[in-house]
Amino acid sequence: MRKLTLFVLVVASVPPAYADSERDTLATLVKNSCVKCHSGKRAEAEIDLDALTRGPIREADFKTWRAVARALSTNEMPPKGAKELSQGDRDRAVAIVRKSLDRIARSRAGDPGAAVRGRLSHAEYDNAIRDLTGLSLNISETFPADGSGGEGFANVGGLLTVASPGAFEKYLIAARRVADHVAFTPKGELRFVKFQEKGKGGSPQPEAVERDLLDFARRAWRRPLAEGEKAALVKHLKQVADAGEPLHGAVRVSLIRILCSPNFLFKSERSAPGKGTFPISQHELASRLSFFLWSSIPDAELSRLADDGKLEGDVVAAQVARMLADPKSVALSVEFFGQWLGFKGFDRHSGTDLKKFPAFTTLLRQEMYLETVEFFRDLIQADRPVPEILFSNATFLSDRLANHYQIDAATIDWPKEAVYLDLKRTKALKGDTRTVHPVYRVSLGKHSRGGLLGMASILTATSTPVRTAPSIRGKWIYESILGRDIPDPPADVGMIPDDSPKSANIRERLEKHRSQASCASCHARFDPLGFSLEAFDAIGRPRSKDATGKAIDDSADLGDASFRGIDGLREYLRKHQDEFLRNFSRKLVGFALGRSIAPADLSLLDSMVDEAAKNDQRFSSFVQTLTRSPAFRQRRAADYVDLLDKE
Amino acid sequence: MPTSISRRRFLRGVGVAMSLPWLESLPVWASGDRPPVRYACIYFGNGVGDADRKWWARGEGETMEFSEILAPLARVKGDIFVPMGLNQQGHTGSENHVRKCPTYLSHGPVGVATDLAPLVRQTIDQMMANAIGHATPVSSLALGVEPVFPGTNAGLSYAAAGNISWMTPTSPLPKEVFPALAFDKIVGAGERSRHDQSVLDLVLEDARQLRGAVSGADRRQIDDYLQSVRDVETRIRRVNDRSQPAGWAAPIYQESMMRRPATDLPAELADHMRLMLDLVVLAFRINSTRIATLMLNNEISRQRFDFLPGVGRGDLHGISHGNRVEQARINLFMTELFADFVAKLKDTHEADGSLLDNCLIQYGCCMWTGGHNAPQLPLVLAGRGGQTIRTGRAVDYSQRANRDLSQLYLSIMDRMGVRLDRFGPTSERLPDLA
Repeated sequence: MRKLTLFVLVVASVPPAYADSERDTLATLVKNSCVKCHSGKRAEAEIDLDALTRGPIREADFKTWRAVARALSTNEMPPKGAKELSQGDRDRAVAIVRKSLDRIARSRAGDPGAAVRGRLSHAEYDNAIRDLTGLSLNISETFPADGSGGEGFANVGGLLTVASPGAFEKYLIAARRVADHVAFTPKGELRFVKFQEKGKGGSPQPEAVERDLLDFARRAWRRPLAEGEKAALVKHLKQVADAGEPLHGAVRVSLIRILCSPNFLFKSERSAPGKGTFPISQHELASRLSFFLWSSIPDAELSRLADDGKLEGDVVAAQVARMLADPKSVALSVEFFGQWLGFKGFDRHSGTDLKKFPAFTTLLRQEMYLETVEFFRDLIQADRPVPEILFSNATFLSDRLANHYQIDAATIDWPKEAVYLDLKRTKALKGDTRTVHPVYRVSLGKHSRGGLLGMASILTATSTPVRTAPSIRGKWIYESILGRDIPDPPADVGMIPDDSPKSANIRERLEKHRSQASCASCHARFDPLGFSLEAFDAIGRPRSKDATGKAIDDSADLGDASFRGIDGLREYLRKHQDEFLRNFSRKLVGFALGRSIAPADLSLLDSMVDEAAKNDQRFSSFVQTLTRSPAFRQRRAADYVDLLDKE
Repeated sequence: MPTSISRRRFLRGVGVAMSLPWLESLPVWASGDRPPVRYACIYFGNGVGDADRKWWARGEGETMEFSEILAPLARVKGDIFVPMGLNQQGHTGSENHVRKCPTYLSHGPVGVATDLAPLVRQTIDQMMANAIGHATPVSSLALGVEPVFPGTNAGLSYAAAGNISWMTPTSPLPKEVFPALAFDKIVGAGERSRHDQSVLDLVLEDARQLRGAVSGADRRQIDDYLQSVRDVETRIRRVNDRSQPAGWAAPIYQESMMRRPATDLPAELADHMRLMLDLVVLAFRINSTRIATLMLNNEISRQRFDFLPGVGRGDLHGISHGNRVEQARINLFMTELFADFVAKLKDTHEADGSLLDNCLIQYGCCMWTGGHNAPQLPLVLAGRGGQTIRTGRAVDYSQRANRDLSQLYLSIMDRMGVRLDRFGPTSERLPDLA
């Protein structure tokens, strides 16, 4: 039985978050425009603003107020026909509400949040099998896709279940496929080989095999085995052998049993009684670290530290640094950055019209993907400042890609060696990779490429099959980079038809679309961001004319800011770097914990951003602050209740 | 190893809990003299191009007429029934794909559960699977062609756009898109080892221990896992149970019926769709299951149909919002596939007639047009449901006060031997079906 240290959560009483005068201001603003519908027993959307504004904003009404702030800030409310709220009044009301909500949220600092760890995601399953056997089998390709949620990642514990007739069977079949690769060394020890090497080597020796199986289970289950578990595993092996199965067949059955166990498939953490919070065990911490940074199981060093009870304090920080520098952290590039920014799976991108863009060959596509994966791998492993994602003048090019970008290869200062990683082995690259050229880290000086915004993978993924799509590019910058909210489009929304007047270019067609008032309020916020990238075509090549033969107009007018081209966009984003860093932090927390951001996490986001500012914005600083936090190190006990969780 | 955990104990979740009190399994054809009725929903996504003009049928018998998109059904017109004008109350407006798709086979609005999982009601196929699925080796099948996309759309997991079969309010029955794996499930192939039971016993024991150490949502996930393991156990037992009931018996699988498809996904979309349809025929023929759903496309589909004359290279979802002519051409192509499928069921002999006589196939979509709205729904039924449906007709329900699709679902479940007093907003059965 493990010792539990229980912290009793002290909920300090929250002082009223704003002055009485502010409360009166809010009540007056709301009274004029909202309470006609939002009051009494039949209040619209069951939001009674009359009652809500009688006192200070209460914690119990947190979610209601958050919805109110969102509806006001996105101009969703008041609806047409209601008494209008001037922009100034609207901003004032939202500011008062947000200030109060922030106060309440920050009073929750230290609450680790609701954590359901769930089963292994498919990426985690494949990587775990790779680390257990040394073979890249990529078995999860035949699994039904993981659902995504939370902050947009496919590792959200609450959604990762084994919950249907047949769901378990997939794991049974997968375990058999892994076990098919079992073989033995000349000394009779357990090992795994590719199919073509089957039949070589020795035959199993009972003692060696027992020891190796227990070690395999220990690694797969990510914790030391109880004596009873060891005995049961050995007993099962013997029973199967006694039933007439040859020893190598019995070993196979034992491996299937280990890999189908919930101890392997689930990341569940031990619970503790009470209403407070408690620290997770060191083995659980080792798992959280390795699933976060490697999308895989802990390695020998991490496990040994947990076994010895040394995985605490500075040792954790040192392990985080070691793990970030390890080749396996490429998983963060593919899984975290790839899902956040939308380039995961670009190596199989099929959304480009090959008749219109014959230059978009399979090999070029894979090198585009490599550019982006390598860029982020390098950011992580060389621990570069996070703003370089947008502002770096370096990127990773092959000769083919340089040619695609119309950069004269002779003008590039190519390094001697490609920073080449076996991406196929790490499952970062799929398909025929035989003639993919290596990519080299190059600095491009004044050239417009360098950093994420000039990458062909991103520029292609945010285009339609046949043309650029400034709305999609703009929305991607607005939402994914800056983390700003866009309300859902109105129902029965139109698309820009590809078969409409040939003489109008996309900019003119979009401007027409925006002439509809219902579209304009949002599109005016993000379309211009996309217009600034119009000098790149639908597969990321530079261009000076569009498909209709008109000269490219890459000017952007956002109302409160106007600029031109990718350089202007970078300058604009530089001014909004704090939003980018905060959104990056938010996404990183969502990925690390496998859940949505909760109000209690706001303080963690603050400290990640603050700490990073003292550390040159380096990637590792964000990770260190995060992995030190209670959200990462603790769990809520079984009976924890938080008002803010209530829907 | 005997266990203390009952199946019923794990049938939790709002949808199941709500449906159980009314669920009653009637032994309609319990004598086993006749083949049972099989139900399938063949689903296409993203609505119909120019539906008002291009999706209709009228008349009956030899004089039955079909619109442009339904024209391929003329060759099987004696075996189909086209109900026009049905819709889903509360879903006739233009809510988006993720709000409409998961409620197509149930009723009621889609909510948002934690972490953006959709919150829906259990769908009719899964209600039936719970009630009668135990009588076949596979309780129900969910098949598809497009994998579920990663990520979220309009504030919900893409799971809501890629699944029409929902077991619990937040869990779809994951659909199989690999033909070879669906085949293995249907014929009970795949490797079975005489040691399987010992493996299952041990992992069940692991799960029970783990269950005691965790709490809350973690514990519910372990419960789901336990249930899934027990389902595999049951299936193994059913496959091993060779005893045949008296009376009608389904044929045993033979290779001449259908070979195991290649392990990889088919390269051509049309081949993939045909293969999945063939697998439904096979499953029903050998009575591996009585309940199947097949999604030819997801909502917000990324499939491309540029192999069809006159169809460009945009994806289906894009086309559905921008080009009604191309969309109608794609709808026509899928009706052709559906007509081929119906003809195959008809050409398969069963008892004293055809397999189709004992089938009840629903063909449709949750939207009327590509613009999301659904004042009525595109719908075709095929098969006579064991002589309980008078086919060869089109009936217009648009003038009826109650036009809700739930009436049809009550009628379908009756014929499958699952009798509910009420479903969704109605307790009426669809009139003029028999």
